[in-house]
Amino acid sequence: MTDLRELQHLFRDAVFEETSDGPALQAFSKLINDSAGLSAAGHLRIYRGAILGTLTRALGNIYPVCKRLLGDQFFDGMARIHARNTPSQSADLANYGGEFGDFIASFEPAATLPYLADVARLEWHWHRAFHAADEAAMDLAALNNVPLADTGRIAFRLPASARLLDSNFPVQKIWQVNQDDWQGDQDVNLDEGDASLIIWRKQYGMRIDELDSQESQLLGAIDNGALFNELSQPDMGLELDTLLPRCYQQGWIAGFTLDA
Amino acid sequence: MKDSKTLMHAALAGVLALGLGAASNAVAGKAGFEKCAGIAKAGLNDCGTSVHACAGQATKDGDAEEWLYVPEGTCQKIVGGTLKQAAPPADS
Repeated sequence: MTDLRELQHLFRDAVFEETSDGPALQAFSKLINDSAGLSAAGHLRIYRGAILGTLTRALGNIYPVCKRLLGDQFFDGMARIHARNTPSQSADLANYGGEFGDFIASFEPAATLPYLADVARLEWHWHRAFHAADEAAMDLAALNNVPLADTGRIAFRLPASARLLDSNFPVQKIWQVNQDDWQGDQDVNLDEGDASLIIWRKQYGMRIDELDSQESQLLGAIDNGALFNELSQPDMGLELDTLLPRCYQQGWIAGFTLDA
Repeated sequence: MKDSKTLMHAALAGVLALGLGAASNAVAGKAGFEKCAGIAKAGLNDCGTSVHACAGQATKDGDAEEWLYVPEGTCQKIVGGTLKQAAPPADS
């Protein structure tokens, strides 16, 4: 007798295997009854189509720029392969799709578009920032009250919505000219160079900000958990006296804790 | 070269000064891009927004084939890349 776990695995394989007439689907359909007018395999195919279709469409919603760059046919075909290889790990569809950028980077037919994986990563960060919690401003009174002797132990933090992205390609330009409301031409020259970006949400405004090298270095170090004392070391080369206020004023530094 | 403590204190003073309303001129920096979150993106739910969305997906269980993978979107506008193959006309 087949136990429940085996049944569940077989069902999963029937939904996610390569074709809609594969061995798992055939095997599972022998375990359930036909109904009048629809075979057991037919029932399974509807289920399979619904799940893969939903995940494919979710990827299209999260990655509209990639879809536009590739065209619907290419994108949907690629997304469907990803949906089969990488089923959702979460019951919340908004959590699905974070591995798509890495998948694209390894997807042979997309290799002619070397910037595509980074465009996807930008769209994922956008998606996560959109769904991130709201943020209160940094408590400056508390910052002012940190004893002088403890300032080195301050650990600043970025907004909860913020993600940093470095790319060898002008991905923010590619993203911008492929928005629905973009009025100008869509030409982009990849030789325009690389990008250091912070993608975040400022109240109800979604933001993609370009960072200069000092800002990128500071925010990257903060994101990696560096303490104020480490940020201020001469070998970091950061002009903190102007850099920190500037990043704070932009909204990129949203709070701090004191490291124990 | 400023030492580490001096640098920290100067940086903190700069941040706190902003909070007190002094020296709050707009910061110089690279271009940013802002888009209202409310119109930028619709939410997702697991059955789409249309009543019949789930049923409609069932018709799409075609198996992908290699010939599908010809980019025919706006990537044609991106130069300096290595796009080698143009999309065939839609009716061919």
